[in-house]
Amino acid sequence: MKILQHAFLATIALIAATGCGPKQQAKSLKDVQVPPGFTFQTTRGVEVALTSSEAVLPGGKAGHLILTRPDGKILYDGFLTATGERKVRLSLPSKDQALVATLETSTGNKLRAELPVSGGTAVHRFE
Amino acid sequence: MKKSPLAIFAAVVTLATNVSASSAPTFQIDKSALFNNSAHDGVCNKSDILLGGTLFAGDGVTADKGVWLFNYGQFDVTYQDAGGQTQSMFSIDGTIVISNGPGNPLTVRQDFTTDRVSDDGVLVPKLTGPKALRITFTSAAGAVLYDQTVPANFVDCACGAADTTAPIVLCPWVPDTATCGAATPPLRAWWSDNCAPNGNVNRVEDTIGFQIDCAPVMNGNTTVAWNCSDEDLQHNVGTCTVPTNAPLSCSGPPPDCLEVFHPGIGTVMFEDLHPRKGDFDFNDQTVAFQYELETVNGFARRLKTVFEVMSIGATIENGLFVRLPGIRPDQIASVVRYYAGGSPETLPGTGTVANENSAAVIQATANTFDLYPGAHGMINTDPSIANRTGKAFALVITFTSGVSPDLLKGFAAGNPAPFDLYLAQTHNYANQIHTTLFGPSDLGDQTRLNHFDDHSLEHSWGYYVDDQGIPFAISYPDFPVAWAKERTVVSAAFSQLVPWIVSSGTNTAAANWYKSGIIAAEAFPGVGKPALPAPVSADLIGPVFQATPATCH
Repeated sequence: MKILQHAFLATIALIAATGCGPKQQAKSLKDVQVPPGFTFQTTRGVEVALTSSEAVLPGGKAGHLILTRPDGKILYDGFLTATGERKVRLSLPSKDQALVATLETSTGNKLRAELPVSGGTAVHRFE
Repeated sequence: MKKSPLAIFAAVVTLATNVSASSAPTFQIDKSALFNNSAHDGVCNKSDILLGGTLFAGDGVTADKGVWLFNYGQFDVTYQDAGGQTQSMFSIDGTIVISNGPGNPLTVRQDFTTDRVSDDGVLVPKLTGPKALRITFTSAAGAVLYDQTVPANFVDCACGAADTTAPIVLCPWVPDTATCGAATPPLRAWWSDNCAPNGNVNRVEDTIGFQIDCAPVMNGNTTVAWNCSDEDLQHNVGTCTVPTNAPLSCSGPPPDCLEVFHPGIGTVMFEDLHPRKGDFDFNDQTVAFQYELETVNGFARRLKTVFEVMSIGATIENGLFVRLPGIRPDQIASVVRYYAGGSPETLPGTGTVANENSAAVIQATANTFDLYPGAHGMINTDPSIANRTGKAFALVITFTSGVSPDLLKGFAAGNPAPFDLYLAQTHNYANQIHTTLFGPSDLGDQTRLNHFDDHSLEHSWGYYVDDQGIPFAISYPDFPVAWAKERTVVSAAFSQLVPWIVSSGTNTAAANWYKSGIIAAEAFPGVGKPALPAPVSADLIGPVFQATPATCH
């Protein structure tokens, strides 16, 4: 029995020493070796392209366009017309996979859309 | 301070011709329309020019819904400046051709809804099927400014309906760099086809207009002369000059189109013993920032930066600076500092740091301890000591005219701290600490890079990093809810920080390390203490930046 116990402990010690299983990670920043090329960036650039049909924005009047992060923090406060594409470049937290667009028309209608971000772009048309 | 105020000038000139072949056409100037083109801007004293001409068949024509387009027109536009001197605004030749579609040009001098023989014996069949509009513009010197065929989007006109093409964005106009800076103002043109917009049966109007952003400055009374000619023999109007003689005086400020971008909300945590390694608590300075960029008619006008130093876990006195990559010092007109509840303070000169020439640098504060009057020692890093609230403040940076938002490169790059927010020692400005994307400023001490524990640019880690690639400043895109308490390694307080780093940022479960997995016992404010108040809203310090979408077109 004692031999078995010793063998078990030895096995555990070996596993610990060789790092078998999931690769051990540093617990403290002091012990971290930062991967090459990693510069601690926590955001990425996103280009948003938005359009609207004339049915949504009749009479050529611009609508009030607000783009926010998923947590509600405003990224852009401006406008969208029915006659043109609105392109806006924004900085979005890397952890966020979408942003939210809200369009309020001159008649008070509010449209909301969640825009998934793919490949650094997000596209939506208000219909 | 702007180099020069941009003027607004809007005019819509209506040319009316009588369709009777037996009588000479007459022209009318609809002065009431001069400032009444609501589809565009319809205002004066704005940094653009709006000119338009409407040619319409006269009233009382029942059998013919024809449209007499000017198939040739020379637009030679002049204005009178405030001193009464006539100045040339621009001169172009315009050719408008309606065809049955791209590649099948057909000049239309008459109507397009019925077959017709023109006065010179040419059969002009009516147009059927998809139509296209070709517009060419050449400068007075003969250069082709624009030549494009676009879907005309009009139908055989059933009067009562309105049918308008979208604005056509033309190639860039001759840049007026003196007025507009480096930006090249666009020339826009539009063409529209409307049926009886004024309720007149069987009257068709066609309008062509031009808009030039960033026009020459005009003040006071201005006269526009519209010189036009028409090649159409039947309706040859010869060369005519139609001065409006309308004083373009306006009252009130122009309704500028304001947009507000929020290029950054976040926090920078500093270790300030550079180029020596510190204690890794990253609380030597914890700075919350908010950036708002106001644009006017597509140009950057003001940048508002709001800063709140949340902790000072150090004894070294540091100033806080912001550098705007891509912006030259001469593109800054002024900088005004606002404290919450305090009086605004205009920084000397244009507000930039002297001899920082490659990019504008602004001193946010000379010594962050000044933001905690009466405080001694370390601030907001020891949970056993009561929290202190420092003075939040804002800088409102006004740009000279014509600065493109794209010149704010940090903003375009999507950097978490889109503008280089850095520390410099109060008593030795050259000793600086930046985040990894930014090297020392012009006046920063370059020799501190790769000196002692600094290993900048090794393994593509960026600037201000140690031999393990750990930076001396870390930024994240949110307001701080906690930071490491004094002499506690930051990863003890932020438990997901190390997993995020070793994954090169790909560990999505750890990507929110700055808000998720915080160990209160290792952090400030500590266990059982009230949560830290959020930084002061940007709207509560200094002017409020507010979009005006109703005036944007």
